[in-house]
Amino acid sequence: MKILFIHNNNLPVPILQFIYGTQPQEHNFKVIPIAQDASDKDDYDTFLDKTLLSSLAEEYDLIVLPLTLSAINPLEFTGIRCAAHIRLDKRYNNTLTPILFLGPDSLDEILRLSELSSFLLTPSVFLSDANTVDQFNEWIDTHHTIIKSLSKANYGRFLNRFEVKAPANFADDHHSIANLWGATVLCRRITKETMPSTAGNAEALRSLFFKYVLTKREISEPGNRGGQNETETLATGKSFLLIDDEADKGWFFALSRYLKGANQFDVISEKTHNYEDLTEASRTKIEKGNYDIIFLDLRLNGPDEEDIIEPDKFSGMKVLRKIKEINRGTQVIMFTASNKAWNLKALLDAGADGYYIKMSPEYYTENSIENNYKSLRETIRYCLKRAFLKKIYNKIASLNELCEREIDEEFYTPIEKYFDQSFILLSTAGNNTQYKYAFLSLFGALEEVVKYWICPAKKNQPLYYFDDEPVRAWDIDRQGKQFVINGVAYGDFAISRRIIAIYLDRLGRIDMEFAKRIYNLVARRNDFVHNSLSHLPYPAIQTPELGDRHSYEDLFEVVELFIEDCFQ
Amino acid sequence: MGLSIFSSFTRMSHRIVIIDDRPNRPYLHLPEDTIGKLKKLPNVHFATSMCDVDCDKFDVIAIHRSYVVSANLSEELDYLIKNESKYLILFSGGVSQQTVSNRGHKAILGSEVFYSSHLLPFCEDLSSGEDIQLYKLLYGIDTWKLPILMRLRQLYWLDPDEEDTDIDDEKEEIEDALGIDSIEVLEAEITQLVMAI
Repeated sequence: MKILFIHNNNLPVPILQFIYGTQPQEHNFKVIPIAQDASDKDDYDTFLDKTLLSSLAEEYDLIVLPLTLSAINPLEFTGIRCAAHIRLDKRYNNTLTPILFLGPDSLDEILRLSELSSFLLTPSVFLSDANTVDQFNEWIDTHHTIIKSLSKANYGRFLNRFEVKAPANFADDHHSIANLWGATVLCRRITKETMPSTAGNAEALRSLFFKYVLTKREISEPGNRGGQNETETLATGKSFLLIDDEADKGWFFALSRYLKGANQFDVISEKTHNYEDLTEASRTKIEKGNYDIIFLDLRLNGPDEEDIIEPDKFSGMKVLRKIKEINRGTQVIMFTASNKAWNLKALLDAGADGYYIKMSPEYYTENSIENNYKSLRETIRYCLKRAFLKKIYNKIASLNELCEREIDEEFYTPIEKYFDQSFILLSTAGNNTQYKYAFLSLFGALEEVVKYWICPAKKNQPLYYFDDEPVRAWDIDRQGKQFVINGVAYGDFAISRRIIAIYLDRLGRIDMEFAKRIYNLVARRNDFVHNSLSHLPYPAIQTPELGDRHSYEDLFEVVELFIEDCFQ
Repeated sequence: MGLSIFSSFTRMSHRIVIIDDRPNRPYLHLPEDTIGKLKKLPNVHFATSMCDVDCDKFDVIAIHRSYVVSANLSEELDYLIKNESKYLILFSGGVSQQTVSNRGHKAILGSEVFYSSHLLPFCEDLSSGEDIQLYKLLYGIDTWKLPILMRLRQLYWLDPDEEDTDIDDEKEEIEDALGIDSIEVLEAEITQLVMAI
């Protein structure tokens, strides 16, 4: 039998002499001495983890250790803690190995005194007070038929019977531990990679409690995906930003691996009360970085926000509002540990485009990991499809600036309102009809711009002036069949004709393909408003259908070109 | 012989300094009136950094562990234990396992254990001149002997042939200090304390 002894000079003297001795032995012994005292800098679990990781490379038939590895205090029962680590951590290669505790204390006493005492009631765990070589050998001989590795079923029984209580500071720090667990289970669902240890999560990853909750909520390895999944494809060439003061706990790793096709994945990992307290570099990143999606944690100020109840007071909400103030089209997915309906509603009301509820070991239920992953995937897909809104918003802002600069306020105000209205309708559009209304609203902006250039003349006098210059006036010919600007006659007074007239009058030319696009757009608009059959006078460059983002973008491009051309 | 689990101080009031860089932390764990009583004890001093403290004046130094790490005080504090026979308590929010080491002169424990209902009686006990026993803080005034008694039992068990002189010395020290003259007496005392938990 291959037996491993772990001790801190607190196994019986005769047994220590025996295992270190040179006499021929029936069994194959290996010994791991544990250092006398844990380091001040390392938490005890970290110390144990490092020691076991560096020492336990092989599988054994039996592991023998004292009830306590502590030098002077038997009540610490650190031997049981060490054994629990071995049982819960695959990296030590002995999760199923039988364990024998040697010690003078009775089971009854251990059950009363040790918080981990339930470990002794689990399969393949034994207790003996043997303290001589003869007694030890006799114990082995007597029990050799039941010293067996745990079966899978028995490992399940072990998990059901054994309990590791949350650390005393879990109430204060559960945000961090739960955070790490949530990131780890997501990472394990979507990738075969192990969460790496960082300065931010090393201690938590090594803690017995974390290993316990992770093993208890063990999930199967992801199946063979054989290539990129759809979300990874969607992420190709895209840019993302994660804002999370605990990004190094695992969320950055999990998300960046999930979206590994991305062109760019940046992170802001600093604690802050609000947007203004972020460093200048971080604010620049948010304002200037061209991100398709920003993942934003609701709480960016650690335990200081544990007692906050009102959603608006969370630091993440303040940052969200600012991001939306800068550009309403920026897609923001809020990360929150809260599953309370009023908190989630508050996120959406504040402008979040989606949210992700970070899993916690406290609220785990069957299939919750899978459902949680699917929810994240769908939210990312949804936001990626809407990422174009950011560009539209920027362009609208730019056009507004141009109009404000060049056009009298009387004309400019309705233009700005129509632009704003069209953007709101576009950003909330979820079906064909809603996209059509967004289109219609944008068309309204176009009509207002046209009005600036063409207005009815009264007794041949221009009605509107801009910088003392009259805007263009039109006259209807005597038969009412065409309008005339500066002596040049145009056809009927449809808006398309007006736009073309403006081009010809101001620039002396118009691109014919552009003119055809204008006719098509007007035809689509009229069809929708007058509920007639769709009939485009010219072949469509993009989709002929009205009722999706492409028709809006088509119109927007025309509006943009028109305004820029007219004010050049 | 070096450090002993039993202090060799004469009967005089022992002084404790509690160094916590977050002065509000005690209020998270203890009621205000208990903290008030602690602050009134003449042998208890509160500080927020080592800079304000002359360690020579104190027998027990309790300090938040994160501050020890950030201010790089480990070596200095170890020196105080070994060479000045001081007692050191490191407390922190993130302790997975409390430990006692350096022959009972050093304890690492959670903040909730340090700032527990045991703290006031522990400090009052220090002022009475009784031997300094960090176990009184960890396990309470009524149960502090239990780990020592169990250690004695462990020593008997570790060396059945009584070959190891270090074990013998430690056994004798405990037997003398606690007045244990037989295994039967030892087991009876252990049973009594365990059943009371």
